[in-house]
Amino acid sequence: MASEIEFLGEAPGSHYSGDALLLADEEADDSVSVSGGSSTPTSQLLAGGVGSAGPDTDAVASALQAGDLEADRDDDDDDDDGAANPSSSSQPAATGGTAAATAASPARRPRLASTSLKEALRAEASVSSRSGASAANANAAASSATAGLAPAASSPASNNSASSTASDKPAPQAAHQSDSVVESAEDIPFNWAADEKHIFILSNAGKPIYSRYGSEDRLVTMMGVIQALVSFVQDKNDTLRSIIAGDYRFVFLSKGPIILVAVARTGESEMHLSSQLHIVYNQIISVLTHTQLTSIFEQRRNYDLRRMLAGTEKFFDSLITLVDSDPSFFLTAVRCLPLAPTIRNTIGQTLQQNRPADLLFAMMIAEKQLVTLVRPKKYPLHPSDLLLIFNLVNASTSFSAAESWIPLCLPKFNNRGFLHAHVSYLDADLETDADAPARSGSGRVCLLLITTNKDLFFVLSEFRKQILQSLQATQSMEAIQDALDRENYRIAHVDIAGLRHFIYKSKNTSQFTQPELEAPYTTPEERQRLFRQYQHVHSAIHSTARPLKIYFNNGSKEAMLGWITTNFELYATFGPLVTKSGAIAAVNRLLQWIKHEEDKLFILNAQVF
Amino acid sequence: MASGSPSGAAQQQQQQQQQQQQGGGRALEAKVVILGSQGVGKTSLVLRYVQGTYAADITSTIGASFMTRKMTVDRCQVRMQIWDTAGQERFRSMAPMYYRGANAALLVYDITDEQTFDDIKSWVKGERSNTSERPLDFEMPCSHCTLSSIPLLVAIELQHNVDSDIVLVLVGNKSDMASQRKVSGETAAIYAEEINALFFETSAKADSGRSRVFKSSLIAFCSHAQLFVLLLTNVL
Repeated sequence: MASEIEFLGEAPGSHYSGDALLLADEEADDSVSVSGGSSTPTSQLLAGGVGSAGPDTDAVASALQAGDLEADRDDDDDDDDGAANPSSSSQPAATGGTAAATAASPARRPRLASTSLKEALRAEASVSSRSGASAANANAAASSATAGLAPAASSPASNNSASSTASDKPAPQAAHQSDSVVESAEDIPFNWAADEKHIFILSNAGKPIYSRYGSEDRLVTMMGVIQALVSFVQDKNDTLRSIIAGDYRFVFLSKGPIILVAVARTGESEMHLSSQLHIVYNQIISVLTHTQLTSIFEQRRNYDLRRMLAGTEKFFDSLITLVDSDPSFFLTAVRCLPLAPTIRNTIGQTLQQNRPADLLFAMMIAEKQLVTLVRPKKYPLHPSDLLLIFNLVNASTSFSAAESWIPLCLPKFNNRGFLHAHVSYLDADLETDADAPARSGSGRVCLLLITTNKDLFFVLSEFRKQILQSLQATQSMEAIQDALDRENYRIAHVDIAGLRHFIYKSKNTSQFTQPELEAPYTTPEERQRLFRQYQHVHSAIHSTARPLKIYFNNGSKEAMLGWITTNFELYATFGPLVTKSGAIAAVNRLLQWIKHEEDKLFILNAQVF
Repeated sequence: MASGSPSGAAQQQQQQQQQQQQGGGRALEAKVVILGSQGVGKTSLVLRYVQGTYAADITSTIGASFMTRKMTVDRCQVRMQIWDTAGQERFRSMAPMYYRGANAALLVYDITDEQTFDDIKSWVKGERSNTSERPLDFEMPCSHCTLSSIPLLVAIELQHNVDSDIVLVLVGNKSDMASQRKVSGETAAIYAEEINALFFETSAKADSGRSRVFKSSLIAFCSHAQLFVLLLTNVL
């Protein structure tokens, strides 16, 4: 597919402006409602610079024509979802074809996507590509990509930011009949540039699956362009990995039948954005299994996957929000609830005693912290699987009032099949009595009992009662509640002058610990900024091109230190006046403190059976 | 039935119930399964019933949720087991796991969405064929059913093999959004009659302060279901 993508009429000297994401022609909106039957390009997207951009950017340069993508469309398959989205009915070809774009210079760029921001701001695009042979092609694609993507991405935004025609914009036709996605904010104009990070998921056929913001139905144009880009580069036996345009970084991940794209101006590295896309992909697998995902698209390439993922949007939203604030995800490690080791052992034993034969994993989670995990000796549980479970428990409101019995795929454990999880809160009142006054109060301590046997619900339900009784008898529940009521430890407990905050990951156990954030990191903005600093240090240390052992940077607001050994990763924040040697001395004292506390902060001995 | 309690006059009933609660009576199990398309308000309905709460912003049920509620009806302790299933297409294949062995099935649709009503029809088709070979050949009252008609209904039901027959209750939810109604009460009532189901319209959202009508219909629905299930399970 996509064998004949042509570039028509590249206008010489035309420049693509990095801030074109803010701008779009009003016609961009029309292209969303192009009628389903027509594959003739009916509108052109103009990537025009307004204001500072000057005369350079007026030119409409090249049209990306993807006529052959038509092959993807199967009229029979369209019947069911076509009814749902009349305007969006899978026209990757048509929409891709309508994207006319200004092209940047097709000159060769360095292979690594390390184009400096300065360079990028001069409105050039660079692509990182796996093989040098087709780098030029990839560059060409990328050039029009940035130009093509940007106006498409900004089309709904135009109502707010640039276009004066917001009021007479035709309402999208797709909204009302769509039964798979309820989109209440359908008609509200959307400001794309207001959000720092966008995540899009689409099928290889160009069908929208998920968008973090806005309605997927209004994104068909852009989805078409993304699909054309990815398949164009794939056609050259190469892989499109990332594009830089202005402050924005576009990162692509093509996984089997689906394509995931992150568009961010957060300053995060390609490595981090790409790993976030992997996490999102794993979330899809955990809902569907890899087997089911593959077979759905083998049977019908044009399938609207939103039907299968219905009801899970919240888990994607919450996951994408979490990766921007929780270090668990870039560290691939979990945080444990600080508990005395004796109590943790008692709880672990409770989960093992008289366990049903088919029990695979048993775990307790409290407020995104692991209390304990019990597993068979030969089946470790990968931290990224555990993080998906954390997100599931954290984002769902429906576990609190009942015992839930859910099918769940843990992608790293086995991406081909479902496990079954019995999920309940131990401190919630599950058995209500009509004759007694209702007690309320949602639980905090979540118990998950995971098995391969789908008929084990009532056995596990009995096991849960037994666990609860035993926990109450040993006063473990109170201990957990106390630990939850107690604040996380503060940096003052560590008592090292100049040290403001740290993150310590124990590599053997894939667990990490961090104190509460304190002044000056009290506002959401400052916390977010510090989080990005940590991400930056993490990606500098883990850079594949030039991995580091120790990183130290003395910035204007704080000094950051990163240190990686075979046993741990340590990231520490100091006041800006600290010297390098002072920081290293402090970190050595910190390591002693952690060593002293580690049996409380970490689960050092896995409970296995 | 209800051995262990002294039989008494109606005025002593309350006292007897208290004795029952103190362990005198036989606890009965009643299994109820809630079916219907996604977003019709199955979980809200159950939460309203079990906890007496309503939250506008609840996440979709994954798989199924299991809840129990104890109550005392007519000197008998009943433990109602409720399976609240997920409405999404991908969980459809799991549904038989939950309605197998159920005493009653609540078929919930959204009165503002005709598709969800049509979906009920496919549920019923699948359900009857999976659980009971014998078609039901007796008349069941539907929306006009009153408390007094229930014993009769159950008497008829009992002539059949109760184990394999599910009592169906058709529930049109979101009746507080009557202005956007797409499925008329009459249509639903006729269909309920066709499939021998009870029929109610409810609102899990509306509370007593704002619209007593919906609340009372909810109460009516609950008390019907309670009695119904009770009488069924009494004999099991």
